[in-house]
Amino acid sequence: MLGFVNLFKPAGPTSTQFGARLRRLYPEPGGKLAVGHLGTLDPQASGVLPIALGKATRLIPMIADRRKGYVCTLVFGRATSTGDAGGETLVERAVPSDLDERLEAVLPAFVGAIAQVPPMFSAVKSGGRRLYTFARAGQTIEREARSITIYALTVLGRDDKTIRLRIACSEGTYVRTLCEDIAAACGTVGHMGALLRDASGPFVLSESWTLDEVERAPAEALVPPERVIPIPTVVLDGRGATDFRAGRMVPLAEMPADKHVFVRDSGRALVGVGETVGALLAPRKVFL
Amino acid sequence: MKIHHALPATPPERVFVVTIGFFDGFHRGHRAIVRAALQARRAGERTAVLTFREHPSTFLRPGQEPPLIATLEERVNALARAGLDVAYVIPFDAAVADLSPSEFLDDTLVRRLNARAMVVGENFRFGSKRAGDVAFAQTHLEARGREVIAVPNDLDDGERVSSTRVRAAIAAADFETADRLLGASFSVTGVVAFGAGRGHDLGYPTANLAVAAHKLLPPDGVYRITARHEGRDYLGLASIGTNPTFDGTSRTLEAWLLDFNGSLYGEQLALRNFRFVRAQRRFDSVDELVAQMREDAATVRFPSLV
Repeated sequence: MLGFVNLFKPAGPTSTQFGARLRRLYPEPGGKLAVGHLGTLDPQASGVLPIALGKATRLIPMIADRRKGYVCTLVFGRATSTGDAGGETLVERAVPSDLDERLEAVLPAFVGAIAQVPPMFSAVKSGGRRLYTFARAGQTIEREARSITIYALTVLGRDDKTIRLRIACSEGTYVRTLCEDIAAACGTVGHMGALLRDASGPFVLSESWTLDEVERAPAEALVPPERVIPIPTVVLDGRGATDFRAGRMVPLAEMPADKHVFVRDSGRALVGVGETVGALLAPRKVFL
Repeated sequence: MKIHHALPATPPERVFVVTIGFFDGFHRGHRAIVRAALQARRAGERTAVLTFREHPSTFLRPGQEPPLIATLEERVNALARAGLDVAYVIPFDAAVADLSPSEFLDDTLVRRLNARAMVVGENFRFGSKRAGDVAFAQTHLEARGREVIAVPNDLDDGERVSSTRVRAAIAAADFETADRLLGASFSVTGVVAFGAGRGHDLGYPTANLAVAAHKLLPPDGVYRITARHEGRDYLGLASIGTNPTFDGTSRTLEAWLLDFNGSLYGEQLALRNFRFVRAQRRFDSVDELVAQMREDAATVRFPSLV
């Protein structure tokens, strides 16, 4: 088994629950199917949840495009303990009457590389422990700021105290914190309402499958690695594929322009990932 | 430290002791200024730093901005560790660059930030065309019941400690000078990215560190380092260069942690305590390269024997 599933996660279940469901759909002969996430979603968030299956988990580091796209609501006037609608109210503040003008003035300051302090309710580690384990024990600890990038930030609309935001950002961005920081820059407080992820790197919402749909047609739901990692494929004949599998460098008649290539055998089975070294193809990852 | 990405929309109720600057590298001179700000704080007051996301020359002289000693993340975390309460990290744009010195003091410092005191180095310049200096700020702010604290320059070898001097020392691989001027070890932080994986093939698992594009790196070479991972320090080697043995062209930073076993992919590393070991060179064979790596490791492990 080797491939990706572009899953649609509804609001409610945890991201890890889906790994277990997929294991039942894609039986791995002689072992437990490896599943790997390309970034999880909080339980109350919905949207694109790409999952790597089997040997594709070893390809995750090769996925260069880690940008994320989100649509969320930002509710002004109330700060919560978790930064989203599920937390307890911490503070309530008046929403300024000139909110539209203030938003227009402050939003450009959030576009580009910015320093963000991850929320206490997050999976970021501090001294080897997840921050949420401290948060659940009622503790707040000093956290290091992390550099994230906001590529685009657009207000889609406003309904009284709630605005809808479209966000394109780097991996590791906390939308809850972004919402709180935007509210603070507008001179009030706020929290993130609903969150929908509409893109995770090459996986987009319009091509995502619900779990029901995947269960009905598991084979069709599989996304091959070539669709996710834009490098060419080289087909090796019997001898070449055998050498490559054994970890030996293989001469190529025609060198590909890219440094890395997928290697498939004459039966179209994925053998691994090779790197060009001079006129040779060196095995970098081998799938037996 | 609370980070704000824009100046307050309405003046804060509690007054601030404010320090201003880009603070690249957070060297000894910067540390003295922040210490003075913390000392100037009275009961009920908070300390704030007004700093910029990008180096002002990115806006003023695009294409001529210096490579930076510290990334935004490293700089903000250094300011937080120094004990400041609030950071205003704002873009340096026309709205900032075009303020006259008196507009900056009246509008930004007094009205927007409610600053009771401004703490800066004695050479500090501000406002459009850097027209404002400490004497001007003193006259202007004292007339409004505010205070200016000018911190004397920190001298090293008779010369002012400056980010420019630190950059020159790093670019010359003179880490004794760089670390002395910084008052801390020069560090490079980054996330381990997918690399060529050659080290694994050779039996030496190296971590390819993704470093911000504008970060100042030491010149090409092999360095002894200590790498911090999840609060623990590991002795290691860092190779900066283009991998001449493998006909590489792009400049990379690869770290090899001598006593670490396991996967580092996606993990954050902070490299510190750089010391030059040797220059990059092209080896005729992979065996020669491996022999040299073994020797480098011995140099790093047993410095007294070499």
